[in-house]
Amino acid sequence: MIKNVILIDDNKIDLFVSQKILEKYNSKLHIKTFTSGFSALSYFKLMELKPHLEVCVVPDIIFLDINMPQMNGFEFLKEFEKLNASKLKKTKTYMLSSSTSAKDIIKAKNEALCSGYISKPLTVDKLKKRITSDFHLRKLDFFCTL
Amino acid sequence: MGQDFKQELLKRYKNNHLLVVGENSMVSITDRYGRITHASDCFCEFMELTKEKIIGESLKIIESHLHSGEQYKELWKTIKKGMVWKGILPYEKNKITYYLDTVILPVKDERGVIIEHIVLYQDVLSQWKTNRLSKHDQEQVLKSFSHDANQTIYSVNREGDIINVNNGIDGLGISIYEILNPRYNNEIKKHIDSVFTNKRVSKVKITELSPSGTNTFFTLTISPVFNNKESVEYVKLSVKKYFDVINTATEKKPNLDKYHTVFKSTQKESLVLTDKDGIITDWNKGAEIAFGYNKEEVIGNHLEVLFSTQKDKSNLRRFLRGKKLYYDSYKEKNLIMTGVKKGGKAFPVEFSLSYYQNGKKGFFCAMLLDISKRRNLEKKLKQKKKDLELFLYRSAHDLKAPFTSAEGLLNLIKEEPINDKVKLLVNMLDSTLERGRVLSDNLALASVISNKKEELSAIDFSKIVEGTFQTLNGMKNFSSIQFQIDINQTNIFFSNKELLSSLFQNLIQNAISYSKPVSSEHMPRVRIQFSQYSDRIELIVEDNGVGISKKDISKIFNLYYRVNSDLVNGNGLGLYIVKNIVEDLSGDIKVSSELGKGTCFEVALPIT
Repeated sequence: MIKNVILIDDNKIDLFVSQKILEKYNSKLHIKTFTSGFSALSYFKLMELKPHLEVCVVPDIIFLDINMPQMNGFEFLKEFEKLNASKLKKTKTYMLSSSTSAKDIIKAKNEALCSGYISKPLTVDKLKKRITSDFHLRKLDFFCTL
Repeated sequence: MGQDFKQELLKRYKNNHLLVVGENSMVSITDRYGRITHASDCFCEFMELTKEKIIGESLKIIESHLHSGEQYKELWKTIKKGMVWKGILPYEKNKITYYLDTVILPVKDERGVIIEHIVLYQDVLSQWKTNRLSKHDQEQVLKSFSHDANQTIYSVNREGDIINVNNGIDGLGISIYEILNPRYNNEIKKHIDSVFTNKRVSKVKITELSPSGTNTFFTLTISPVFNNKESVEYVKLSVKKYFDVINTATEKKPNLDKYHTVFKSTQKESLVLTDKDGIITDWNKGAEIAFGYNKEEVIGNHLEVLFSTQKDKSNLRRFLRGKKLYYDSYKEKNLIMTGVKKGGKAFPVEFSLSYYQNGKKGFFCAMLLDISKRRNLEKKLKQKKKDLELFLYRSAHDLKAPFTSAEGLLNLIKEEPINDKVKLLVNMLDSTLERGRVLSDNLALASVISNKKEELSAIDFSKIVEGTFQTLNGMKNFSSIQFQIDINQTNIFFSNKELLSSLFQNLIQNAISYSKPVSSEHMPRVRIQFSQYSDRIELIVEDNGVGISKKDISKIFNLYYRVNSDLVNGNGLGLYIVKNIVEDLSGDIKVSSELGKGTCFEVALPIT
């Protein structure tokens, strides 16, 4: 079951909206927000350096905006890939963007680390559809490998 | 009758000056008091009076000597002195002023007393008008020229007046010089004169430029026709088509001198003349400026020194050969080649070549235009277009972000406990935002279209339909519409997938947007029919929605045009995009509609 979620978006209003929706979806979720890819990365680096630090919670899901200044979503993913925190291996990353450009969607599809593409604004319906089916699938996969 | 009058004149005056009187001349004889005693038919015709009425009348044209005009005073002074008067007299008839080129000859008796005057007139203005034959007439004459089987033969007197034509009346009554290329007038005149004096057949080659730009060569054969006194009465002038030559820029200037001046002074275009082997014989100022060689340096070289690459040089040689062999049928567009300046600097030139035959000697005329400026502008334009497309793309996408944020916030507000008034406002805000979002979507789509024109891929149309339905799934009214789909694709074909999908999507979107609501009598329906032929595909999207009135149908493809802004949540971009795509794919779109009954779009796209 999902416990910890990280939101990365430069737009604070979108962060707010997404956070509220996530809370509505499941009020017990731990949600952490970052307004840039950099700050999120340094958080993960800290986790890498001090794996036993209690404060750092390993996210089950990262929702990542694409269009951000300085470091966009894809650039973040590249950096994220370089981290070796074994704890992060199970983390699923979703692109959460207002872009409907086919270019972005295809790029996200081809990104190994990206599990899906969700168009903004985030709604409870979208979350349910996406996450339950994806996490359900993972269970199926798990059964298959057994 | 005219002949009689001439005989009469000849009988009475064995004077030489009367030889100038032709059958079609306007002549009158007045006594010393100015009363008309004789008048030629032509003159009567001009005055619009019968001979009987004219004779005995005073000559209206010159009677106004009492008139204070300087000219009349001078006229009377001259003729009273017994001298010849020449001048142009105005004469008003039916409110039109005619100008008569008039000669008044005094006739004296043995004692030297003036007994009468012979007055010769020529209507200058009308003649001037007939001189300016309309284009149509010229074309007619040219046509009769060109008719090989019916060779035209003109009978012409020494002055060049056409007195008979073998095939109908084309040109009858006017001068031969008015129907032939004026450039050859002097030459033809010389030839006609020589036939009259030498009594031998003479031939001359002329060209005619038709308004369509074709230059036709004709051979004029001038042969004498003798009277029984063994002197030449008139000449027969036969015109025979020689051959056609496709017009080139130079032949638009019939005057050789003019052409020469133009050739020499043109500075923008480089004109280079070469002999039949491509050796440069002359060039103009423009070529000197463009290529930087002196005339002395370049003459004697092959034309290929002006070109940079080996490929261009061999192309040029092939080009010269082809032109020479087939110069009347060898048509091609201007070539873009790489020219090279004296110092070795290359620059793009537009190159065209014409071949002429001057007697047995052939020569080439090459036109070269330095297009580096144009090239640069084209490049800049391309870049600007790209920038603009990117700008459109970026702004359309950037525009989306605030819309989606607002939508998210609204979703949150809807979850809050709010009263009905606020709820109403929120709903209105919601639909406003929806419009903005669709608009930015379509703008983004439009920018994608201009970006992706060239990409081709194998198309499976049912996949496109599938994709479209998935995209439009969430649209209002979508589920209430009955779709009737008939796809008849026999083979895979190649086209631009992106364009085709958005074309289809927009048409379906349009059909859904303009559907009528479901009721007991109405079932909204959209029929989609796709058929493939060997050379084209056809797509029909027909709905039974609100339809378009006749008045509006011409406007539906305009940017930001909406038939009914209250009813529909459109933004006026959809059909504009459709039209653009159809144009980009060089297809055709037809629309038929009846208000209240529905609309049918038929798209045909060529495939290879």
